[in-house]
Amino acid sequence: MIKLHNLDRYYPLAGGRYYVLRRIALDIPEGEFVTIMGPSGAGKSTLLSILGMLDAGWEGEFFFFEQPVHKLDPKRRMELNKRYVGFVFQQYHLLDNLTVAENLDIPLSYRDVKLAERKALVADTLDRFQIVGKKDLFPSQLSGGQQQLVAVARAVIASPKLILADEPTGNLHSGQGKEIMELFKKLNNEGTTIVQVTHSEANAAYGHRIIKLQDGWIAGN
Amino acid sequence: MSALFQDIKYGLRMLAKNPGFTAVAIITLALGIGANTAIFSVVNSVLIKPLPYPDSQQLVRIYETLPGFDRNSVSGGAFKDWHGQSSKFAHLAVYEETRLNLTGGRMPERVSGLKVSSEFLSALGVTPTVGRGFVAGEDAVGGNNRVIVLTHQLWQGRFGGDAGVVARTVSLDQIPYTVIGVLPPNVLLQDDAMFLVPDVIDAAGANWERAGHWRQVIGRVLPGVTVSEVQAELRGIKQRLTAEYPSFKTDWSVAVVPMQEVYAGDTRPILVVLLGAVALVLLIACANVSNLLLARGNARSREMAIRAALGADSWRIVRQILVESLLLAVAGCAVGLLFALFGVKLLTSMFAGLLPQVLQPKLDINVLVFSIGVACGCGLLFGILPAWRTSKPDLNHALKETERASASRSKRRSQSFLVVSEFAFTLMLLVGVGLFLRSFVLLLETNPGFNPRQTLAFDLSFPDAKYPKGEDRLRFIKDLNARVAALPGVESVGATSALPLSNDGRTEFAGRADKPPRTDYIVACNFVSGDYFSAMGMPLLRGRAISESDNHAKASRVLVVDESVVRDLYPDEDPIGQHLSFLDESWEIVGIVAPVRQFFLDRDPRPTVYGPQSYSPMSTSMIIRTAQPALALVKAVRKTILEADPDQPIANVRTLEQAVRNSLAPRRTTLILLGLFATVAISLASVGIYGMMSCAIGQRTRELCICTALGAQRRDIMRLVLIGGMKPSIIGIVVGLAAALALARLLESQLFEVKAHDPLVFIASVCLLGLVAALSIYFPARRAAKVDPMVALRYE
Repeated sequence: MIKLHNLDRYYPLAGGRYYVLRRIALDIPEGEFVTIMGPSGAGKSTLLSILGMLDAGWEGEFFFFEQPVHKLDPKRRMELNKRYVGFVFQQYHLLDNLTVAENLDIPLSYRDVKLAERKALVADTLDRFQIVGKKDLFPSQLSGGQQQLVAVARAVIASPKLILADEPTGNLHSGQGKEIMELFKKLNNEGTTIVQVTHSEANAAYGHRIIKLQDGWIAGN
Repeated sequence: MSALFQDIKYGLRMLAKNPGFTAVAIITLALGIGANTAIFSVVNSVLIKPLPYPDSQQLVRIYETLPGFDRNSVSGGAFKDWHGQSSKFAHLAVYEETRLNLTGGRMPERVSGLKVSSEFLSALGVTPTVGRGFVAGEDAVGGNNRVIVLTHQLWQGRFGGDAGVVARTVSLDQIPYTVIGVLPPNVLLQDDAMFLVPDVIDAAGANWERAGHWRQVIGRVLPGVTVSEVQAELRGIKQRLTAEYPSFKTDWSVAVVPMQEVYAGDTRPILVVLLGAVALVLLIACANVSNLLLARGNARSREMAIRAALGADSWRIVRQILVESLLLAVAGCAVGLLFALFGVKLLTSMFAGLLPQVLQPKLDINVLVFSIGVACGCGLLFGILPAWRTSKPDLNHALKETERASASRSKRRSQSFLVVSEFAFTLMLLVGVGLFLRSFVLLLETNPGFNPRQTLAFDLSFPDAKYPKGEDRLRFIKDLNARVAALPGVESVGATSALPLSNDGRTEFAGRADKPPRTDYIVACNFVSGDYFSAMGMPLLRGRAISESDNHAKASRVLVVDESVVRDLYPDEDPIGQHLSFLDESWEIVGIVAPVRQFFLDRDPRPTVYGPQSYSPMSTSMIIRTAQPALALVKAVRKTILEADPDQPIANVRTLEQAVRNSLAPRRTTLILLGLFATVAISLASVGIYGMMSCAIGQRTRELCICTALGAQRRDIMRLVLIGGMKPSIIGIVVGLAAALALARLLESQLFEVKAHDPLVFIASVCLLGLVAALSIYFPARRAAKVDPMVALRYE
């Protein structure tokens, strides 16, 4: 599903290039649950952004479902993002001014899904995540765990093949964190590929393998 | 479509969630859109909308022209030539203004009206609402000439809107007229005209020759005929008949001007200036709102990054921001229309004396469409920069950001660019206002050539029926002069054929009697009696004034001339005792007075001669110099006149100070409006820089606190903020200065004795705007300097 070869990400500085990722080579087959770990500044989140097509300033080769992302223009990359990728962030990143239902609807509207179909999908998802009673609440009216639950629901509503989760339990207490991780496990079991960034060994244990990053290099796989 | 509705729904929600921001943006836009709508309503009425007559594009005014005067009034003879020989008109009509005494029943009243040929209403395409208009023959000698058509205003005011007024008799200058019809309301372009009576075309009469010019001619050209075709035809007629025209009219010609252009032409420069000014105000308002949106965009960058991460492409994000901008613009437009309602009322009163009633501004569909168009344009204009900036979020950065939002350097540059624009536009406006203000002040200081203080003026009329001969009129004037002079508080009294600045006056050819006659020197001429010069406060420079002994039929012809005549005709000679050729006679010059601005205060005085009233005892205005407030004498003067002639109305009572003030009305109106717009502009610009600085300081609090923690003093922080804030203001002022230097030339024709690049105006404008900028920055800077670094850093 994902193949990276000799991928570099750097920032040009006055004294020369500052590398955030260096010669990354990675192969993630479909259906895998991968954990990326490493100290702060190792380049974990940057790698996740590149996999999600949110970061375009890299060099090297990146194949996604056999498509050479490195040769695609930004528009085509965004199409891949829309079609295959769902994101979950540490800070939830729900849109504050939208209700829970509207937050779920947003990714669908950006994918030009018809209104009737969107309504059905939102209703299904609310039901599936057992948050029907919260559908008209705004994010500020939810607890952290509930917000992350909505964020995961939003990430999966468009049926992505790949979920990228950046420290998804970082702001949750252990009980809530466990619930979210169980949810990821379930989604993975249903066939969704998951790549998560975490500092937590316990969370990493939910995945199939761990990729360790150190100063932008892959230090262990 | 559902996505668009969704954008609108979210947009409305976002605006409702930020009521402070929304209110400020809407009011800012409403000021700009309201001002533009109000001014456009005038432009629409005067320049865009056709005149309120059927097929008004077919209506033309026709002038005789002579070198240097391209819109001269028309001689009766020329009208007859055109009427008899032209084939291009559906209707051709002549008219002249008249003032007649309306008597019977109530107080005598001097009423203005028009003497018109029978096709006048047909040419305009106007049908009376009651009764009928004129028919052929009613303007012919021996025809049914004693008929009158009332205006709606006179019908309502004098006859109480009586539907049975037709066939009633009214007395005008002692002559009975039968009412045949009533016009619809506000249908004439001459506001003071209260009635129409036939202008009797006398083929053999002296008044209908080709020499004298005081009539106006209107025509309705046949469908498909162009103005240039008509003009060519009328010029051809003039060419064919040249031999029959007086010798001085050899090089005269004919000009045909679309009727709309006649009324629009004079106001066009003022309207263009005002439209330019409000456009600047609107641009400043847009820059302000754009700046507000940019500032808010900083806070919303995370939201847009999330949207992008969820799959929104740039266009969707741009659309979301533009929808919000358009919603703001539409709300601004709605409130702006309310402002415009008041604005139009204000403009109507300000333009009352400058535009005919039928051209007064109104809020109609054109104005509404303009307003909505402007609002949408504004929405796009002020929304595009923030939308473009927000549509390209740095996802990596924005999604990692904690709550602390800070503007990127490029965003700060955008904000600075907007402040630069605001200051540049404001300076342009300020320079414009400054130039007009200086012109106005200089005009106020201009010596009109007479002393307008403590004077009372009014008009008299002499109906042929009661005063058939010149001697009768002269006797009455003499008697009245004596009676009024005897009133307590009166210092001197005089009479004249036309008072200065009264939109009245006569011009004639003049030349030295000892040289061949010339047709290129035109003088204004006044015929005076009593102590005219003394009552006017016009100093006699040499010789003597027109005396009572000059004012009888057999007296010798004498003239007092002004210095302009002396300068032009007798530059190196003593003019006293010389003879001037004037009205085909030789007149002895007996005195010299200073030049008087007879027609316009802002134009150089025209050479003027003053003769005894005995040679032209026609229309008469009286002027009284008083020792007390002039208007206090009105009652006593009215009583005195009625004692002398119970049928004599006292019309158009005014002081000369009012006449001076009225003559400045167009400039005053322009100045007031420009001043108003400049005030709005300067307020918006100061709010703009204040907002930008407050926002920038909010975002830089941490940086400033670190500076303080590292030892920076308050004054260092103040200096840092002041210098940073003043930079865009100063750049804006410099850019505005360059633009104002270029644009000021366009105003040159509107200025009075002020150069377009008047240094005083430019320096004052720069200083004022610089001061406003400094004050607007000072308060945020002082606040920044007062922040406790420990509190701020701990908060961070």
